[in-house]
Amino acid sequence: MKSFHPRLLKPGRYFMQGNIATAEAALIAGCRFYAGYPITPSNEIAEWMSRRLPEVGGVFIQMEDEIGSIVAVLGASAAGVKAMTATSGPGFSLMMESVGLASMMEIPAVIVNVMRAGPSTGIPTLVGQGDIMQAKWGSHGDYEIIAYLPSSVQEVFDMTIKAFNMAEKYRVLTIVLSDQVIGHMIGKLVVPDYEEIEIIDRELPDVPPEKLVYPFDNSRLIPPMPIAGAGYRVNYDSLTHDERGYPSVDRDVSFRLVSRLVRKIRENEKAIAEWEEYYTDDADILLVAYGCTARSAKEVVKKLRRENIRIGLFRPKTAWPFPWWRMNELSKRVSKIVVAEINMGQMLHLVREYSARDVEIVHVPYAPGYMPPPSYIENIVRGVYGA
Amino acid sequence: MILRIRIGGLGGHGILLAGRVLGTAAIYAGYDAIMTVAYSPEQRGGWSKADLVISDSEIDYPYIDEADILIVTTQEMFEREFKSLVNNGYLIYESSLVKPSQTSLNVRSIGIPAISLAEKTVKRRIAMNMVLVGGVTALSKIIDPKHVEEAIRSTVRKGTEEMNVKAMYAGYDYVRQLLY
Amino acid sequence: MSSSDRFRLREFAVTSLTKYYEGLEQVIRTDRMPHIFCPGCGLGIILKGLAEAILKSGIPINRHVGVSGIGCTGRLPGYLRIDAYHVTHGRAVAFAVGLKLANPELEVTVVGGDGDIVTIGGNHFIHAARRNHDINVIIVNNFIYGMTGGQYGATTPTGSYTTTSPYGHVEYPFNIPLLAYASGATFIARWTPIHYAQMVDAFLQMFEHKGFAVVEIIAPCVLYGERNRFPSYTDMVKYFRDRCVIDHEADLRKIGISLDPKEPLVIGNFYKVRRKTYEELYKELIERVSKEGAKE
Repeated sequence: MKSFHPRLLKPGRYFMQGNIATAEAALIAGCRFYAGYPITPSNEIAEWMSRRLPEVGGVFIQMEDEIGSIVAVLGASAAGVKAMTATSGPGFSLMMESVGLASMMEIPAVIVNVMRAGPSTGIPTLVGQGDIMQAKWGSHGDYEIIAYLPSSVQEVFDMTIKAFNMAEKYRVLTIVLSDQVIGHMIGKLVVPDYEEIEIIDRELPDVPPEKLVYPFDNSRLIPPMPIAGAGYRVNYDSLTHDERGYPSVDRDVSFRLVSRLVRKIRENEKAIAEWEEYYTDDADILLVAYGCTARSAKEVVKKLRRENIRIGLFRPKTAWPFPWWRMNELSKRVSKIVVAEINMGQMLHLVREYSARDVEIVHVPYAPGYMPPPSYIENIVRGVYGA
Repeated sequence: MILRIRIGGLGGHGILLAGRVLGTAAIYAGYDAIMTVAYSPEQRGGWSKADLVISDSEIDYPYIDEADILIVTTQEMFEREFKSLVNNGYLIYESSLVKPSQTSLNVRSIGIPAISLAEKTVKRRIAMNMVLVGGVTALSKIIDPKHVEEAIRSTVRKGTEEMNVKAMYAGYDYVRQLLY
Repeated sequence: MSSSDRFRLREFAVTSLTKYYEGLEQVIRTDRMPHIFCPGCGLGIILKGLAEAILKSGIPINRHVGVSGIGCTGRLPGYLRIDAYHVTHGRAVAFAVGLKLANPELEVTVVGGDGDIVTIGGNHFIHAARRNHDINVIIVNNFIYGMTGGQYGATTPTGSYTTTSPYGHVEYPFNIPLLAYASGATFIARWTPIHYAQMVDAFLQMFEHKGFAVVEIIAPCVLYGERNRFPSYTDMVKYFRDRCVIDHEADLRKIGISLDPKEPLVIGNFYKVRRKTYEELYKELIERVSKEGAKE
């Protein structure tokens, strides 16, 4: 039985801002360290954490930049404390180097990226969905991450807890790809009884320190994690390392390590990936949308269904791993797919890659900064449908 | 059922808090609610606006183009937002701060002397926003004032609950007397 | 060189290094010998000195944590039998900040080169110093990027020849003790590996000190030497022996390093002041919040 700090957000019903729900969820998940740098539109998360963390005995620090923020988060996690940062746009770009570091050292951590309009400084106060690809491919080399796509205040809360759980379970960096609309929206949040909330902690070595020989044992997909000061005296290396943690340039060492780093996620993708389907059973036209855009898409489906138009919604709740097998199955059952997102075509690539060849795929890009209203998507769908 | 409420005023009028109280009350009453907030570009002294959607079914698109109820506490926001009121919509305004310069046959206007009511009942002008919240509660009829009271108690700063609840009931009674 | 020659040379290196680190096996990963440091490099001596200081520190070895970034110096903590984190280039100080805040019981020591700590990592360094985190930073200053082949960095003396300053370096170098002082470090020392006993003593003082401690070790690098009138391994050591002046009271403004043969190389334990650390202040903050309640 887990113990929950008495000052955590109590079970009950709330009308809460997405960013604040994110922070409260992190605290419930066990996050006790936050390092960040001010950036719009993620600031409420840092501000809330600076107020709340000391209450539950945790530490907040505002670092000199986003690079330092994510690195300090990894340091704290290496010492055994669940840790997170939140950022947006340019700050997320600055963190990319350490996405690889987290992957290589297998240090669990959570980044909340409240997506805003880009590229570059873009429109700091307004929404974007342009970081879908960056979240997975932004750092150099081969690695895997997990990325969630919340669509509501409730979901950003649930997914932030889940992000910590997955980070701990797989020793992997997990990203919550929130966005400005979800982050700033004030909406309904139901905090369930704590007993109903699953909290996962990383597996620690169960052998005494003097016996642990291979902290990066490749015979297990996810080796237990020795934490700093526990006596295992482990060398964690950002260099390619062998099972002892020692740097190596050996071909087999490199292959075994890097393939394990990706296999631990790929072999578990069906357990990790999540999605929502709405009226897909008999759909002939499939809308694909995620995050805030999925809210407009859902309204479109509701409206067109009233006209007996056979339309359904496929909403990936994880961008990474992408539920590609389900995408593939659905694509075989429909004649047309419409992908709506606030960018010039990012999830479009995934939909194209995994859809059946003969299906027609239409992309609905939308101006970075603005959430497409239902009417906009509706008009395009009507055009595609010929109704 | 869907109810769209737009609240506009000056930063410092407690616009956001009024919206949060109404939204929280709606959640307590079992509805779905979503609020989006907008501000003038300046960090201090500018206008602020809260759009609240309350529905008995799940709300998808969070933004509104038009409002069923418009509440304004500045002339500027009245001029800016009056056009967003739907036919048969309600305009609620703080009657010492706003003088409606235009009207429409299809709009029902209710001026509430919220500042003086706040001053009279709790001796704090700042509780003006809660008087207006009470007024909306009486008007909308979908939220029980008990839920609003509960929402106030869970939302406002500790120690100010009683004052805010009193102010809310002052506004509630004022509008009820007008209506019935 | 034939492969059997190479094997014999390696064996010789292993034997001599194992002998050099004899008695320190508890804290040095002798199974990793030979280390990657060139003959004539100062890092082997610094490794030995740090290992000795860790043993003498009175702090359990299990509580010592080493953090480093990229570069020759970045490899040093990996040869220590302690928890060590060899992170990305420039990020060691930020990582150390996270470690220390998460577990203030840890004795966190960053070991990095001039490129790692004050060039690419400069921003993390000055801000961690300003906040006075209770961490130790050993900066091995060899005036050059060694691992990448000898490019200039933020401490390369004006006029130096490096692979990226083939016509002579036109920039002014950082004066690390002055930079540390201005940034808020609360313990500042500078030594060279040939001042072995004083160096070990400075490490011990650094462990004992509560606050941001900076020890700069001016170290010989053959890559720097061969281009800058120290052609043989021993030339730089001779230079240290002849030019070093110990002055604990030195005016930090006047101890920048130049190539002028008439200028002394000033070393010593320059500065020490007790000021509340970030960790202490934050602990007080937590106590205050739990007593007085949270902010509304």
